Amino acid sequence: MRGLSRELLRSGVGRVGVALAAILATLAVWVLATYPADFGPSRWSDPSVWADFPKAAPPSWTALLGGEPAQHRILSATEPAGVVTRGPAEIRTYAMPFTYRESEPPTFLSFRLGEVGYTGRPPSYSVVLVRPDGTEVALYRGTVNGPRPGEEPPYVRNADEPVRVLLSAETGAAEATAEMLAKAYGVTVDPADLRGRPEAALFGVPDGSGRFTPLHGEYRMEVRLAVADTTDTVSEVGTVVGGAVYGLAGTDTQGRDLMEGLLFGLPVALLIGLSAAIVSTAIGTGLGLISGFMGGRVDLLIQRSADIVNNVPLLPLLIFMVFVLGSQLWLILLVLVAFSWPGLTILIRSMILGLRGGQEVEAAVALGANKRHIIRRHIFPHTAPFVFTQMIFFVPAAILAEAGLAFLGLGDPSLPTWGQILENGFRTGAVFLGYWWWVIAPGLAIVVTAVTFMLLSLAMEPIVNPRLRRDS
Amino acid sequence: MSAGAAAGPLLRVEDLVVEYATSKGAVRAVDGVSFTIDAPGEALGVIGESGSGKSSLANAIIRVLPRNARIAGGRVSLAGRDITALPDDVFRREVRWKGIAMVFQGAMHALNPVIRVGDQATERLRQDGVSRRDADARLTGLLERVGLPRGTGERYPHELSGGMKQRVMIAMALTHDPPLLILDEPTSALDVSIQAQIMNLLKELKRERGIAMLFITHDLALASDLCDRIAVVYAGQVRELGAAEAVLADARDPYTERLMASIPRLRGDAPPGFLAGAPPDLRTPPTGCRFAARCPVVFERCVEPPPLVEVSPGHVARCWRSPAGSAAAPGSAAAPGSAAAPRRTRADRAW
Amino acid sequence: MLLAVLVLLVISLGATGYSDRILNAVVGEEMRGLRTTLAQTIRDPDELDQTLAVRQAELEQSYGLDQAWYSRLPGMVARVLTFDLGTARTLRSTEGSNRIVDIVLERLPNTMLLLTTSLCITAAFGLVLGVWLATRIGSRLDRLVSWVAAISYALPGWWTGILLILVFGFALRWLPTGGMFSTPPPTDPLGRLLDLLYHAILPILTLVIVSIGPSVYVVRTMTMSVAQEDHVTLARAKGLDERTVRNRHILRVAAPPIVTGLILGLAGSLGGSILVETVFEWQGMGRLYYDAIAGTPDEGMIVALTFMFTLLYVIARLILEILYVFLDPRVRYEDGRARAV
Repeated sequence: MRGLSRELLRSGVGRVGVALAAILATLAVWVLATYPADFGPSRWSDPSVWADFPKAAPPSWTALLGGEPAQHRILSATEPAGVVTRGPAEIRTYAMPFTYRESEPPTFLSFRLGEVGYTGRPPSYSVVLVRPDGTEVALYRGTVNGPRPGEEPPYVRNADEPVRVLLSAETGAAEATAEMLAKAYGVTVDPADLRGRPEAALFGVPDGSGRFTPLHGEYRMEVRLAVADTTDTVSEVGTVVGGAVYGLAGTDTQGRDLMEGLLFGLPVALLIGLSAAIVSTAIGTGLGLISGFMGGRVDLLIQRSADIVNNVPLLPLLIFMVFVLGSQLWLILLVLVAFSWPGLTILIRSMILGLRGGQEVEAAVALGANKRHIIRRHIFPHTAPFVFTQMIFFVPAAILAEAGLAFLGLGDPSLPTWGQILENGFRTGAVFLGYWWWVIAPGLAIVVTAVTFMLLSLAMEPIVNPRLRRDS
Repeated sequence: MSAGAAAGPLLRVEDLVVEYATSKGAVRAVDGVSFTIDAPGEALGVIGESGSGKSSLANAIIRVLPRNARIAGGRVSLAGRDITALPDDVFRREVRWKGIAMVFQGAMHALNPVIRVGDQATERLRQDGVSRRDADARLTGLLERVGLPRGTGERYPHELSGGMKQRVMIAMALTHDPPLLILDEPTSALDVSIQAQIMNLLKELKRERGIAMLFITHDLALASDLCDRIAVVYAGQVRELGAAEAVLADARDPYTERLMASIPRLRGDAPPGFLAGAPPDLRTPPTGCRFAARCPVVFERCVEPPPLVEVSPGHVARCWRSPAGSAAAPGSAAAPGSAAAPRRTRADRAW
Repeated sequence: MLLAVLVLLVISLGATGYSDRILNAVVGEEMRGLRTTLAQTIRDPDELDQTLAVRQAELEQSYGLDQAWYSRLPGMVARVLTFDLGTARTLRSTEGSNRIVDIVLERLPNTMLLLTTSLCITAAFGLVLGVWLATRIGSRLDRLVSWVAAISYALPGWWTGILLILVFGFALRWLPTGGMFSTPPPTDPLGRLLDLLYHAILPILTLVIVSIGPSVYVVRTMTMSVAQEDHVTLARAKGLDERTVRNRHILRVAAPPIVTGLILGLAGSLGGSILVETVFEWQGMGRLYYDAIAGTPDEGMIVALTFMFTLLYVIARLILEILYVFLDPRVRYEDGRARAV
């Protein structure tokens, strides 16, 4: 093993391979430690988690390439910034400040109200945008749902899911914006024009020609909540100032942060690759050893089986088997292993046969060694490097096979893998809609991981094939 | 090139140096070796252990050194013509196989496994423009001469035994009637009885055709059977060179003497001699005599590298003790007293 | 050998109870259609159910569902071997036939076009580059090629295809983004051919990119390995010119493992073609596979296609065995099986 690590670090190929492998391993461990185990169902496939995220947004670093797209901001407040009491009632003002400096207006504005508990009259609230120029626009007014017939206090609303209002689509918001423009700037705008896209006006000043120049500065989204009883509770208010870009890897059409999915896919891919490789290698080597040592009918049986299995093309049969048996992860792995062991078996067997007839074993036998000793000390050291190299070589094959399956829609649906992300993208037509980040990143992840193992395997080649040593 | 009566030796090797470039530095596998072979029909045996440089020597003469090796000094002349300086294509056309042919060791892998042996053997003839019929006819005659049954030419190498393959190699080497044949351990991979047959064949060919031979082996006894003269190499240098009888009966170099002593004797009770240690690492060759570390008769003078010294006409040895007589350890028979000062004679010039 | 593979396939079909599933599904489908039709004429629900039940029993009997799967086996094997592969559920051939055989055979040449062309290009490049590199082991170029080979092997074919579409189809707009013909396709034969080739460029390029790295690497390694053998040194010592040495003593000897590698690479391409055809909407067998899986699964089609792919692979292996006997005289036939002498 020492010789192995020395050889690995000797060549440039090996060094890069080891470095990459170390990075991947560290990342994988970090992901395993920080992500929930049921990330798939609990987070990835849960639309409510992603409700506030921009949909199909390119990664935020694309802003560097030109333009200044709006940043995506998700804000919330749990405690009021100011409270005004009037007898038993209260007006709580929640403030969510943010700074706007981009040249593109936000893509949307939304409001979110968390769990509310009240005993008497339901609270009412207004959502107001305070601009740096001092003007205010009351975008929305609402009341929490009243008590239903037969319901007893205390009343709880929005416990499972917060109420969300898309402010940009509200007629009230458009009218309020038009009103503000008329009063503060003397510009008349038809609310019908604003409805659906009031952001340019909300975040800009009119330039006289019907368009708006961005108004940079400190903004504040205020929620003024009036409760009838001071014991009424509000868990959280929030707002989303929609951006055009998000995150390191962008989002998909469901708003899912692709970076999260990609990171989660890393330990999954490594798990798939390594477990398939290890099991397949173990079986292959084991059968090869048995075949080589026992000879006779056992040997014949194993060789024939290996021959048959070797004669089938992997992917079509993999597809078929998964289709028949179901697309659970362990089944996929099982099928992968079931079709990959013969190669190693045949090779190990011929190595064994060669070694058995060789002088090293002959000498050991003459010295009185028993079979187990011979296997351990005289056969294994010769086959071990080869077996190890083959195992490393198989990892990318397994990862690619699983990705291919997932791409065809046959992956395990509860487990987001890179292939699955790509499948989602492909089926949603990401290719044709130009959502390149959705497509490039997962594929790149696959390639980098596979290449890492390929490099390691390449670097170990001189051990297995001494003729390839550089200075021979 | 026919082996006519030429003035001067057929093969002259002068101060040949062969260097290998390795990741750990340059290694001189052959470090200033000189000898001659005179026509007709003289066989020179080159004896050495593994790593002594003997195979590099042979490969250098016919210029099939591996990519990381080169002739770093010295000269090889064939019938008076300097062949080290010849451009590659001229050398290939005129010297290889026509002037010098080679028989390799381990005929197991030296034959192309996917081509019939007959086709392989006549390859050079065909490349030179000889018609298939003439080439085949010539080959048939040669195959018969080396003792192979008819139809051997149709076979593939894996269908032949080791001895048969070696005979094919010999027949193949003779297609152009070369005046010089280099044989690099031609019998190492064969068992003793086959070995004897091959050696007999070589002796017959030598006698009949007057082919000169450079016979490379680690087996002193084998060489003594065939060769007229013997050169012993160690660590890239010639340590002793002379007529076979002279070297065998009166070894003047301690290494040669140890080699002789290690051959088991049929008669007598004395156990064979044994030489401890290993040859020096040629990446950093020793500054003094290269055999000093293992020499049984080493003394103070040995820190200075000894030159080749003529100890009797036609017999040279590289040892400070050699002119004084046999290089046997003190106490054994025929060890005269003082070590006379070595005479620098024509020994250092090419023979 | 071929027989063994097929038998294995068919047995595994039966053993997984899968054939039960297909047939049940087929029956179920028929019954659904029947119910809809009958419901329009028979008003009484009981009478409807009764009629359907009778029909169902008839169907089950005709498909042999009332028997255990192993007694159906011989019939299945016979059907598969005679290429009676049943009918497709929703897909049709261009002539409207719903016989699976027709549909598959129609798509076969399209797949073959991609596979054989890419195989030839890959082999040609592999041989030329690999041999050239074998003389330059250890050089910077050689190391670069090692990197490229590693990356090439790691590239998923379908992802590469998508990338190429993005770059050449969208960004640069040089090549079409998919399909086999333009819409509308040209009517004259030459135009059609050119259009087809135009559309084939990207898929073939994808297949080549993915397999060229390993191909060059294998040839280089094999060639280099052989070039160090003693018989090559002997060939040089004999005074043969370099070209002869290279062709007769290096390449000719390295041919068996190289050819093996290439043909086994074909196996990988078979799988890859499924994915590449899917990405490029190339109407070949691979795309057919995808169509049969996505949407409503067409079990009969899937079985048939798996069988076809396996068949193709087995044929390729057979060709390889035959070629190998010619290439390597050390292997000869003895009692029906190739044995190393």
